[in-house]
Amino acid sequence: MHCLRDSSSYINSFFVIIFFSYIGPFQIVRDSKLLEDILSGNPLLRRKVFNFLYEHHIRFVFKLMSKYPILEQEECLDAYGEAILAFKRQVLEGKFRGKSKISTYLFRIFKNKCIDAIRKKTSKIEKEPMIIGGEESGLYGIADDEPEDKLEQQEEIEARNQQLQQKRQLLEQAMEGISEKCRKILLAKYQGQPYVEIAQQFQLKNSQSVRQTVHKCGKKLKEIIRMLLAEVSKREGQ
Amino acid sequence: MNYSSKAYFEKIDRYLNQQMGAEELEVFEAQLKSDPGLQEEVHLQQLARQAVQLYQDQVDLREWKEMGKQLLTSQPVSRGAFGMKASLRLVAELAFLLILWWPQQPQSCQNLQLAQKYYSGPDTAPLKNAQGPASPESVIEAARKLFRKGRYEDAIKQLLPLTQQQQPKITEAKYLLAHAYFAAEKYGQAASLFAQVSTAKDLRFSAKASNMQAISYLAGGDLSSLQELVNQWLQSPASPEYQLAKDIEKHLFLLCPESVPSASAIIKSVP
Repeated sequence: MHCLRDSSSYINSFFVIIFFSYIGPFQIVRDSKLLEDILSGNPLLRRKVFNFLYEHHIRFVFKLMSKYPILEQEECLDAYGEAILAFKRQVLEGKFRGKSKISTYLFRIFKNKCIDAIRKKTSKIEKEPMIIGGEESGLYGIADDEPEDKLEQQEEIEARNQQLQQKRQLLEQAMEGISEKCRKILLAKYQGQPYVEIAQQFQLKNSQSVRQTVHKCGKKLKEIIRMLLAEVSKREGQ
Repeated sequence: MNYSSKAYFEKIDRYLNQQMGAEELEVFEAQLKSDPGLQEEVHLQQLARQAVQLYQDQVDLREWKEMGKQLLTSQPVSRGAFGMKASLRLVAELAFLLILWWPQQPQSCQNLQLAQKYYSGPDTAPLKNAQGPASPESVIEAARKLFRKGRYEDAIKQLLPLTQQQQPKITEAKYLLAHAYFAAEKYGQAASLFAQVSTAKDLRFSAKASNMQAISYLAGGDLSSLQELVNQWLQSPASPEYQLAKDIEKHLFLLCPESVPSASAIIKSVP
């Protein structure tokens, strides 16, 4: 017997399918799974997730490249990479809890990064407000009539950014001070690779040798940081 | 205290990774509070971890950029899973679902239409040669009158004794009784009586009774018996019911067991 269902049940299931396909339940499930993997404490898994996110949302680059033709492909890719990194930090710091879709959130960060890139680029070229899409916008240029308190706020942010920049430079310098092998071993440990794997990869005897090398490299890195910090405080003292 | 030893390095690492047990953590934090040397060592190790993290970020950025370049060149017009904009994709998804849904969607249950199509009422025209008040002809005549007036239960009462005795008009009486049952919405009894009449030798009633048996199953929502009957008819293409069987089979997927048309709705269709 073929029939034999009331048509209303078909209509209901049809609308249920439409509804779910519209809100994307699979997207929600996948988002929660991705967040779970990121927060699992397994750096290898986390890395895989971010690689997946990067690849999966690469269409954003097309979208914003056509929206902001002023940005070159390289600049857009840089902004996109930074957006993924920023998203990573926000998830790990608990600022993103999955209330909105990852794609929406990521797109917003990426857009802001693109705007920052445009601002940097245009401020180098000209100090006048830029005109985008026929509308004058103070967002992308430096306006002369900004309120004073806004300027103070801006100065504070810039000072903080400068401090962070200095810290970044110091840490980058410290990393450059250790050998390539040390950098890679410390990175492998930071990524959560098992000692056995690290031993195989770097042709070390066993896990004990890996622990020894990690300690040696870590110690060296700390010494360099200590030295650089001392130099900075000496400079500031002068 | 030698804080740069391997043991301390690993201890601080455990502390920063929040891998210490409650007891060890308590002791360590107490020591950390009182020992500026340890504080400095923890701070330095924290910075070292941040340096590695930064290096990791740079490595990731480099790798991603390479990946991005490859993706951009390999998919110059990629716009998602189906190579379309989100809005177009939504339309495509809706169309796809519609295509999936459409063939399965039954039209409204056609039980009533089919029953109306094949219903044929009994001949209830007055008899000219009724013989005596107790003769079978006169009883059938009285039942026909009651049927015409819509008093089906009374017609059943009149006809029932007649169908239980052997007499020449028994097939006609059974046929009329079956119609009375059908009209009184006693489809099970109607179907069983129509089945009896359909095997009778009197062709005036047997051919119509076969159709009515099927209509009784249909009206009663007994689709499994209907299917059985149809299958039986389909086995003999020469039988008069073959065409009806084909028609019912064609409409079978449009019939619903829960959609039971009332007898009056079926009967009203007969002019």
